[in-house]
Amino acid sequence: MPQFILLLRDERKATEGFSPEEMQKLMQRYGDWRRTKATGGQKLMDGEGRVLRKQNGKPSITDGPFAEAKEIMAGFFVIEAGNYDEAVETAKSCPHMEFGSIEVRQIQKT
Amino acid sequence: MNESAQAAGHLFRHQYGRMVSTLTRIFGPRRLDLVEEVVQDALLKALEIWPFQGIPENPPAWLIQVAKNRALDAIRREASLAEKIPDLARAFPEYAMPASQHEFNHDDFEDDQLSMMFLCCHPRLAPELRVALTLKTVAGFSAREIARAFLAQEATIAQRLVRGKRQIRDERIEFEMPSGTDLRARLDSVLEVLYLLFNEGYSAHQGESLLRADLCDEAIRLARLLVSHPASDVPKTHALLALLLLQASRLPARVNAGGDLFLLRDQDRTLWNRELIEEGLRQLDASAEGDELTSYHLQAGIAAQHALASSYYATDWADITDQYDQLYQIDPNPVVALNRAIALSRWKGPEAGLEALASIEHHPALAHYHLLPATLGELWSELGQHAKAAECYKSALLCPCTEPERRLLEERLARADRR
Repeated sequence: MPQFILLLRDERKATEGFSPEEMQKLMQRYGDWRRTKATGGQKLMDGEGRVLRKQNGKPSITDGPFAEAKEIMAGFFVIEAGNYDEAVETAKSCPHMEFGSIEVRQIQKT
Repeated sequence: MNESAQAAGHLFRHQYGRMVSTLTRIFGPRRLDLVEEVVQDALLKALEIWPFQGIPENPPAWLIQVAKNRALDAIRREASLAEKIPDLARAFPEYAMPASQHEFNHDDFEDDQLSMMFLCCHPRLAPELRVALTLKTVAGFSAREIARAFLAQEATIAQRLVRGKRQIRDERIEFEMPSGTDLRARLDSVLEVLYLLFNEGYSAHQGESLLRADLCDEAIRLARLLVSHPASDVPKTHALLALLLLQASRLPARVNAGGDLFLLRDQDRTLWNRELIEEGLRQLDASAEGDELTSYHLQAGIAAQHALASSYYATDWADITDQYDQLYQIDPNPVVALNRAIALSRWKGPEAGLEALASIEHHPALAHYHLLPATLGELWSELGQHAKAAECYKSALLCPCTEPERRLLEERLARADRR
């Protein structure tokens, strides 16, 4: 089965002012989703993220390739799906859709 | 649901209260703001990491370590700015050590929460501040949730929390388990807050019903903590816990799935929680000691009579009336008089009830209390005086009440009108 990586982006402000109870409920929703839909996942280190490119033959570094400067890359999930459309459908069911965006990319089989 | 499942169900909220209590012991009540901030941060951190990586083996230890590190970072920054505390380890020897089993063991957590309750319920703080602070710091409710439960504005609750914390800081109220003569007055204040908390959850089942049941659960959890500590393990604490347990045992039968209220007479007694009743009766036994008869003892005694009765009609109304008489001696308020009159009417008949109610019928404190005209309506309809009953139900409906109560009153009114 083809594997897909879901890159989760959000704005840190989304969960501001949540009560402990509300935070836990949200965490459980993510957890339930991960257990049933994903085969793996990791939190990415905090920080803006950097992009390295070569400019005039020399490496140059720019801040993350995000449309919104406020957005950060929170982490990623790995899922299996029959095809790209199925992967998108699965990604849509992720609770993260309420708080940010998800980029869906197929992992190339070697 | 058993207790451990419930505890896991509220992991974050309960951990919030534990962490705030323990870190307040370590860093001092004057840093309560910082403590709350780092605990909130730790939970947010968990919310960011756990969904991807799963829940760590020991979630409480993980959370408190993160919170503690954040607090240390903040204090270190503060210290280096002020250059007041060159050696952090010397100033706070307690947390210079690595987190040991001892520092965060279960008993300590519980002791810390008790001390925190005594801090939040300090008699120098205004009563409305005590409730808000206890709910926020020990019970882990947010200002928004407290506001919802008490039908208050979130801003009002937030202000109370700020005022309370400022007073704790300015008056240097200490984080401690009181003892000796001090304990007596301070325990009363803690018991009162728990009683209020429970009542708030019990008396209405409007809107956020889940949260309101949570208030009852939380009051019981904290009362259990109180009886488990030697300093607060006194007869009246057992009496309060008995009262809460016995009242809570009837909660499942009070409202049906559609949110309709059932009166005691119409409740399905098989739905009453037998475990809570058993525990409540054991606590009532334990409360029968010493020479102080508190209002909690009598209220628990009345609740026990109801719990023990096989049916509404088999209830020992004579004993209940007697206990209300004693309660009125201790606490002569018109609501007690109203309840006494109801018990009397079950014992001696509706005329006796109406006669007893005549003395409080025009009491100003009951002017907008729907249960007085509602009771009068019941008694008149039992006597076949349906026109009088209808009048009473109409005036009851003019008073503020919850939605299920309003439906019940309207149904009674319609029935009285038909006759």
